[in-house]
Amino acid sequence: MSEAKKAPEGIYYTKEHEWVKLEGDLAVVGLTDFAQDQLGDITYVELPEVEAEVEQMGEMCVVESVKTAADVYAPLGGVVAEVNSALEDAPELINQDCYGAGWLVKLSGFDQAELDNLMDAAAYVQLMAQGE
Amino acid sequence: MGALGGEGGTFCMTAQTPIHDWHAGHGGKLVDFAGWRLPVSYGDGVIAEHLATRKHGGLFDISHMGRFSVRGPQAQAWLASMLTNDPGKLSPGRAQYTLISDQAGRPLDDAFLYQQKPEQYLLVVNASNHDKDLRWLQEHLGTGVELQDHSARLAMLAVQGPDSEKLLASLLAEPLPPAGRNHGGFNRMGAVEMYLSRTGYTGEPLSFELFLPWEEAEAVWDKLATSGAPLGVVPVGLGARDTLRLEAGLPLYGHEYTPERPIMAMPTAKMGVDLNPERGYFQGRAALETQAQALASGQYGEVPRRVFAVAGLAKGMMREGSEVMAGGKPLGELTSGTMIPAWQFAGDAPGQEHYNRPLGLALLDSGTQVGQEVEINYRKRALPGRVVKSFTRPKGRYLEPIQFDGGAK
Repeated sequence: MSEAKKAPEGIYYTKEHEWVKLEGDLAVVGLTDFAQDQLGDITYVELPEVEAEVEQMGEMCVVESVKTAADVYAPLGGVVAEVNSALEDAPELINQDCYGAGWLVKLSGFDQAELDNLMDAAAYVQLMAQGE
Repeated sequence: MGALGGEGGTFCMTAQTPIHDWHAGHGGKLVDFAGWRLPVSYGDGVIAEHLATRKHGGLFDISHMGRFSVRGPQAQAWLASMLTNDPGKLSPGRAQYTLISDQAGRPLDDAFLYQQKPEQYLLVVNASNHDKDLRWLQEHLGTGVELQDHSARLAMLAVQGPDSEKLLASLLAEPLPPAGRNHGGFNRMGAVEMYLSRTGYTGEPLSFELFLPWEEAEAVWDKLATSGAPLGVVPVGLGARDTLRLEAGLPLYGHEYTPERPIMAMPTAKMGVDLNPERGYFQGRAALETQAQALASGQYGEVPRRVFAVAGLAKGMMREGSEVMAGGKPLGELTSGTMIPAWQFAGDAPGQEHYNRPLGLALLDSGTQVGQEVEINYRKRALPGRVVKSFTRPKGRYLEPIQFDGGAK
């Protein structure tokens, strides 16, 4: 698997294996390739309510795989503007396309300054290499 | 992302089964499990392996399990004093589900006993309990009995599912054991001698376990995998082994059975406990009789809660430890649970479509009735569910998922 697939450039990463991408006023959030690989087949996603408020690195939603259940943390504080309802019937989209069709949530009302607490692709790949 | 529920313990020393290198070379995602290095799944993942087993068949390397050889003129009498089921009901070529009980009627383990010859038995126990069981059995050993640990001498493979019989019949030299659960016999694949039993841990109507020499196991496994592939029979890891047993309503030690919980709290104990008055004394007998009476009387004193099957009626979280409520009151908690894949049947056989549904086993108030509507709490949300008799039923050579009204499709 290429490095680009593992951690694409131009988006931000948390050490808990979430990614976030800015799209105008919205921040799209998902799980990294490392996360989906660790989880194995994802069978259910408990998405947050639209308009729910989240804090940076606060609990945002839960994903369940055949192996385990895991909290997903909000990379940025803000308000849930949109959820990927396609995951309700097809949670496997996260395994198949974690940086695309498998996105989880779009946040609005976030503070750009909080991006400083996140990593770029190079830093995230380095963290992976250190065996985090 | 933060893990909420882990994968069991980690161990400093991990042992390898004779199939280890094959697993590693065929996409197996190896993890530490009860002191062994085993695949949790292969390339296609847990869901694909579960579905393949139900539609065609699955191969399982279960060489990590404990295997004790018990021989001698007093073997049957001694086993009868140590186990909850009656080995006197067996004959050569038969097997039975049984438990190892302590004096208080708590399980040291659940196990399977195979009679191979008049004075020769194999007792198969959980890998995680191997040392504890062996110590217990050695401490209580009588004369005229030879107890040996064959765990690292005999490998153990399972072939389970609708095409398992066809696959084995094409490879074995002797006829298969007569049809019927728990029947077994000696057999050969090429020059490899083995013992074959119609037993398993998937609920499949057609299921087999093979006992064979450790050093021959990899070649036999490879032959099964190669010959099974055209039939759709695939290697299956620990992940799908767990979802298959859960869908079949079978208990797992450490989840449904625990060292603190009365044996009779698990409904499958009925198949593994024989309280016939003519049997006489065995370890835990008095306590088990008290438990059985508590259940029969409807007072439930000794067994306040027992294990039931709970089906989720929508998509949602079904996780071990979650609270189960009925009418706003706590009824108990989940001992196992997850999303389980199922085939949509087309007539008498699995079709092309499949779906996932949340299924669990739960320790609930003993007076709970099948049909009881419940809610399963997970964090702030409640999943609607129902106490059911079972999740599946045999249909010809297949195991068909039972669909529940209002259930997730």
